Amino acid sequence: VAASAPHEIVFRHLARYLGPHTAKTALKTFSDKALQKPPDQVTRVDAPKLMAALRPMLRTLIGAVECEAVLQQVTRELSL
Amino acid sequence: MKYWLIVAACVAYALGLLAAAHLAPEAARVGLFACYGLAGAAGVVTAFSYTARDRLRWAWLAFGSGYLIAFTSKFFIADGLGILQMSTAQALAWSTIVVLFNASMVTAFVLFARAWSGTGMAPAWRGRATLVFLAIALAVDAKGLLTGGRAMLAGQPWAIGFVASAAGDIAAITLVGPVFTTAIALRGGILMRPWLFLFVACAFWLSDDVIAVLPAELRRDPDMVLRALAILLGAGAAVAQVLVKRDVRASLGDA
Repeated sequence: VAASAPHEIVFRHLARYLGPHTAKTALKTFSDKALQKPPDQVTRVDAPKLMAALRPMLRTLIGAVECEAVLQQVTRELSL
Repeated sequence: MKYWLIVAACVAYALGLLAAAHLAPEAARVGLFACYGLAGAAGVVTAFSYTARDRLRWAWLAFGSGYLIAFTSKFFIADGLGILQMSTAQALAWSTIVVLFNASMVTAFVLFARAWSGTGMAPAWRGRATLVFLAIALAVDAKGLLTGGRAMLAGQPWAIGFVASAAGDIAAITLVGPVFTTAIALRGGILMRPWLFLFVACAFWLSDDVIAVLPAELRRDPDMVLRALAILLGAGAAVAQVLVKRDVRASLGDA
């Protein structure tokens, strides 16, 4: 079984909380802002920068504690 | 399932109040006032599920405080429906409480409306939705604001509360626009639930404002149900927010 691409892992987590529409927009917006590249070109090396860019939005919507837990889970799944 | 249970409990309570209003009016009055206390407590508990750095803590705290202020005033002063029968001191106390209640609620809704500020993105049509709700707010409450304004200029003590209530309603209804766009933006995700509860609660407050044009005897029953649903679904939004935070933690355990 092929491993999921980094953007797919991040999308799966975001979609669970933000819904697929906003998850897709957030992924596109923040990969462009933080990495100047489209989501499907995000590598595991880029992922920490992408998650740092997503942090303010997640922290506001779910709270600081839950946001850090989500980002840690994504980091684990990306095996960083 | 648990979110539907919250909705069912709110509807059952509101219908129970309607029945009580005909069978035991005093019990219905106390039951309605208890809704304010419940929403206040739920808002404050939800606020403290966030850290001090979280914007939504302050939104929920203002929301809960507003309802606790209203709850206190209902028991110690009177319900606003009897303002014309109040003594001057009572009318001034009622007006002060209404100003505080509206200030808290507007603060809460400003903070809810600003949920996306500083996050780097926001729903695209948030501005347009705000304008649509401003138009609705003015259509519903502008007349009350003018009437209250004229009474305030004539020196009526109750008019301060009346103007604060109408101005607060206009501001709060306008800010329902961003709450609505947030609920829509989060559709399909678990974070949508508290925002949807909050929006539906606001829609019931708006309906309650709209029926103010009816004569008092026709308005009494729908006011009881709409007001109870507006307050209880606001409490439901606070409870849903806590449950969503739990769901987020549980989903991490499942992953």
